[in-house]
Amino acid sequence: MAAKPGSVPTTYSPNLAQKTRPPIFKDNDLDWVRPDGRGFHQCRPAFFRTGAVNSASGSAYAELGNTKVIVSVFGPRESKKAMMYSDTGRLNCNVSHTTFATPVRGQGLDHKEFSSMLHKALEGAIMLETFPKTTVDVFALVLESGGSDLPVVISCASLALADAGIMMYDLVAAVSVACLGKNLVIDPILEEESYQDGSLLLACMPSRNEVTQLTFTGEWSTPDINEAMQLCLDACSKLGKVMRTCLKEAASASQE
Amino acid sequence: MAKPIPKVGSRRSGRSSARKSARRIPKGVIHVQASFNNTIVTVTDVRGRVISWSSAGTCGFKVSLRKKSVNPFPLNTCSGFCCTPKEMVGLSAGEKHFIQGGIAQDLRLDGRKRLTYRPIYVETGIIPQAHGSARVRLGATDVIASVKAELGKPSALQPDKAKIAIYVDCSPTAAPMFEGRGGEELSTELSVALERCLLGGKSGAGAGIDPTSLVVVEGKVCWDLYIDGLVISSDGNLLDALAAAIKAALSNTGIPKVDVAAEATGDEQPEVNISDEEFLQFDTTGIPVIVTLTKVGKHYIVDATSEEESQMSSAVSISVNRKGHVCGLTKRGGAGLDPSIILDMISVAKHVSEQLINKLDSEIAAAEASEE
Amino acid sequence: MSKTEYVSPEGLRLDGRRPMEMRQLRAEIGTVAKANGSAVFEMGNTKVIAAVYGPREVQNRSQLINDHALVRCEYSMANFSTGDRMRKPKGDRRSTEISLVIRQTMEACILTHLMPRSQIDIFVQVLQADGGTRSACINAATLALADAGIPMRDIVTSCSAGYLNSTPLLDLNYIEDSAGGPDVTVGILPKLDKVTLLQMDAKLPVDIFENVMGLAVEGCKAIANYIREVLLENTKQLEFRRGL
Repeated sequence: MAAKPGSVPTTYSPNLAQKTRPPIFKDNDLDWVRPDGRGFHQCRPAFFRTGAVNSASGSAYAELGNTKVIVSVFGPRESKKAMMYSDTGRLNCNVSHTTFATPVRGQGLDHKEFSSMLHKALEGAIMLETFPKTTVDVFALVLESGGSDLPVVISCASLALADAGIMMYDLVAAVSVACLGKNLVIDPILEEESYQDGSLLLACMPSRNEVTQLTFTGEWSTPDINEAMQLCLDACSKLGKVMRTCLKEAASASQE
Repeated sequence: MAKPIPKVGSRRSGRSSARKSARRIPKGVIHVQASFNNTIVTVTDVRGRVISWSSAGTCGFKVSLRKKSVNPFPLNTCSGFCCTPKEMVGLSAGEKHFIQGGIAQDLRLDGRKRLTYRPIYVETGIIPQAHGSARVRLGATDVIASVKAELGKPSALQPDKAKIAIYVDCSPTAAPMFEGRGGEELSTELSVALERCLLGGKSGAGAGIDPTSLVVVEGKVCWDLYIDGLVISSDGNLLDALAAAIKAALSNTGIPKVDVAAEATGDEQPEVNISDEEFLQFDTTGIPVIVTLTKVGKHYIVDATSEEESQMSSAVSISVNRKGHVCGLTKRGGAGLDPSIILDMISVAKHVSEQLINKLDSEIAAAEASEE
Repeated sequence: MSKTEYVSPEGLRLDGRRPMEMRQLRAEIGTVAKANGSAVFEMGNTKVIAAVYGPREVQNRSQLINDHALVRCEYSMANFSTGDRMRKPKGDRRSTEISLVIRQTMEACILTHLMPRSQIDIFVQVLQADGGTRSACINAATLALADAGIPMRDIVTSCSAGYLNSTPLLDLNYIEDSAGGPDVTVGILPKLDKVTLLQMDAKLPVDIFENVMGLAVEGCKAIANYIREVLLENTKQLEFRRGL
C-alpha cells in the first residue's frame, strides 16, 4: 500500500522553534547518518487508512516505514455477564504481533505491557461515560515490526475508534524519541531502537495539548527532557493533522 | 461512518441477572442499628424489603474500634459500601470530599503534608536462601524483594552484559482480588515499570545496576540476576515501596567470588570455582529511587494510600538517581496532563527524591548494622 | 548412594536437634493491615503468612450456600521461597492439593452454620520453605482466623513427624523430608482431642506408625500451647490499647 500521488502530503517533519545545538558526535560516528537517510528530527512518512476490516465497527491501517499495524474496534457491546455494573463504559485493549512481524520468526513477542500501555493512552481520550454498561474492544495487530511499534499502534487505534464513531475528546497521536549518544532521534527504526541509550514515548491529544501517556527509559537530564518533549509534542500535532485529513477523506468519500 | 450504538439490555435472561445495582429506586429507607459492638446499616425500599445491607464489621472497622481510635465516619463508610458494594475501595461521597478537601488544604487523612512520605521501615537479610533480600514497609504497604544470582552464559548478541530480570508477584494475602490470576495484570504492570525505571535503556546506559560488572568471563560466564518482588500487604504506592525494597536488597546482596580455574580455549565453557567465603558487594549508589506523584484534584501528592489512590485522576512515577537525573518515567491513570504540569512534576520529584534517597540510605545502613 | 546418617550416634540430627525436639516457633499476629485477620508463623526456617478476609458477601453467586458459610483457601509459594529459584505458574497440582487440605482442615473447625450466605477467604503465602510448610500453613491460618474473630470450635494445630534411621523424628526439615522416609502430618483439635488431618506417604509398620503419630500429636499439643500463649498476649495488648 502506498500513498496516492497528488493527495495531501503525508510526510511531515517537526520544525523546532529553537535551533538545535550542533550535534556532538562520538569520535567514531563522525559521519553517521540514519540507516534510512532521514534527518535526526525527521519522521517517517505516515500513511493511514480507515475501514480496513469490514466486520469491525471501526478499523484503521497504519504504515510508517516498515512498521505496519492494523487495528479493529468492536463495540460498544454488552459487557460480559460476569462483569459487575459500571456506569461508565469499559475499554478492553489487546495488542498482538504476527509470527512474521520480526526478522526472526516468532521472536520479540514479549510485549505483554503493550496492551496496558495502549489502554492507558486511549482511556483519557475516550468519553467513557457516553456508553455505560458496555465494553469497547480494541484489537491491534502488528503486521510488521519496524521500530516505534507502540506509538504507531496508539495513533492507529485512536483513528480506528474515531472510525467506529466512539465519542472522543480528540484523536491521540503518539511519537517516540530515542537517545543515541548525545543525539535525539525521532521515530527510531528497529535498528536504532536496539542501540538506544534512552527512549521517550509521548502520546497526546494535539488540540487539547494534553499528554495521555508518557514513558521514559534510560537516564535523562532536564534540558534533554525539555527538548525531547517539545520535539514529540511538535511531531504529535503534525501527525494529528495527517490523521485528521485521513478521517476527512474517508468521510467525504462515503458521502459521495 | 458512525454506526449507531447498539441497544443494550434488551435481551434478558430468565433469572434476574441484571443485578440489583441496575435497578433504580427513587425512594428508600436506611435503617441503622447501632450497638456497642457493631453498626448495621440496612437499605430497604419504602415497603421495608431489604435491598442491601452492610455492617461496620464487614467494612473493616473492627480493628479501629478495638484500638479505640477516633473515627470520623464509620457510618458513612457503611452506607457507602451498601450502595456500591462492588467498588474496590468503597468510599462515600462525604469521604471522597473529605480526602479531596484535605489534599487541597495540604493536610491529608493521616496528618501528613502533600509531599511527605510515610515512615519507611527497612529490614534486610530476611530470606536466608537468597543472595540478598529486604523487606520494606511504608505505612500498611509491605513488600519483600529478594535477589538471586545464578551463573549463566551471556547472550551472543551482547557478550559483555549479564541478564537482569525483575518479576513482581502480588500475593492474595494483600487483597482478595489478587486470588488466582487476578493479580497478574498488576504484577506485569509493576514489573515492566520497575524494569523501565531501574534497568535503563536497551544499550544499558543509565542503568542503576551495571550489567557489565556481573560478567566473569566475557561471552562465557556471567552472573544472571533474578530480582523477585512480593507484595504482602497493599495500601497504595506499591511501586515506590518495591523500588526501595530492591535497592535495599541489592545493597544486602553478596555475590560469591568466582575463580576461573583454567583458561578455556575456543567454545569450551571454562571451569569455575565458586568461593563460599569471599563475597562481592554491589555498588548501589547509582540505583535510583522511584517517586510517584499522584494527582488528586489540582494538586499532587507523594506516597498515596489506597484511599487516596482511588481518588486520583492520574499518577506519574519518576525514577531519580543521586545525581538528580531522571532514569525512567511511567504515567499511570487515564486523564490527560498538560506538558507543563509534567515538567513541574519532574522537578518536584527531583526535590523529593533527595530526601527520600538520604532517608532510605540511612535506613538501609541501620538495617544492615542491626543484622550484624 | 551411600546411606546418609540422619541421626548421629550421639543422637543428634543434621541441624543439631534431638529426635524429639521441635524447631523454634515464632508467631506474630496482625501483619497485613488491610486483612480482617492475619498472622506470620515460623517453624525454624519455614515462614508463612496467612491472611483472612471475611466473613463477607459471596463474590460468586453460584457458590452461595444457604445454610452455612463458604470457606475458600489459596496456597501460593513465593518465587524465592525455595533454594533453587523456580518460576511456576499459579495453581499447579501441588498447591491445589495443599489448598484443598488446608480448606478442609479449617472448614472442620469453623462454626460455618453461624454465618450463612457468607464467604471466608484464607490466603496463605509461603515466604520460606524448609519442610513442614503444610503444618506451618495450618498453624498460621488458625492464628489468622482467630485474629479475624471468626467463631471456631477449637484452634487447629498441625505438626509433622517422620521415621528415619529407625528413630522417630519430630518436625522434619527439608533435608529430612526429602530423604524419602515416611512422613506423617497430623492436625488436631487439642481441647477436643480430635484428629482433623492425617496424611502419610511411604509405608510404616502399624506399631511404629502409632509411635510416630503419637509423637506428631505431642508436637501439635506443644504448638497449641504456644499458639494459645500468643493469642493471649495479643488479647492483652488489645485490651491495653483499649485502655481497659
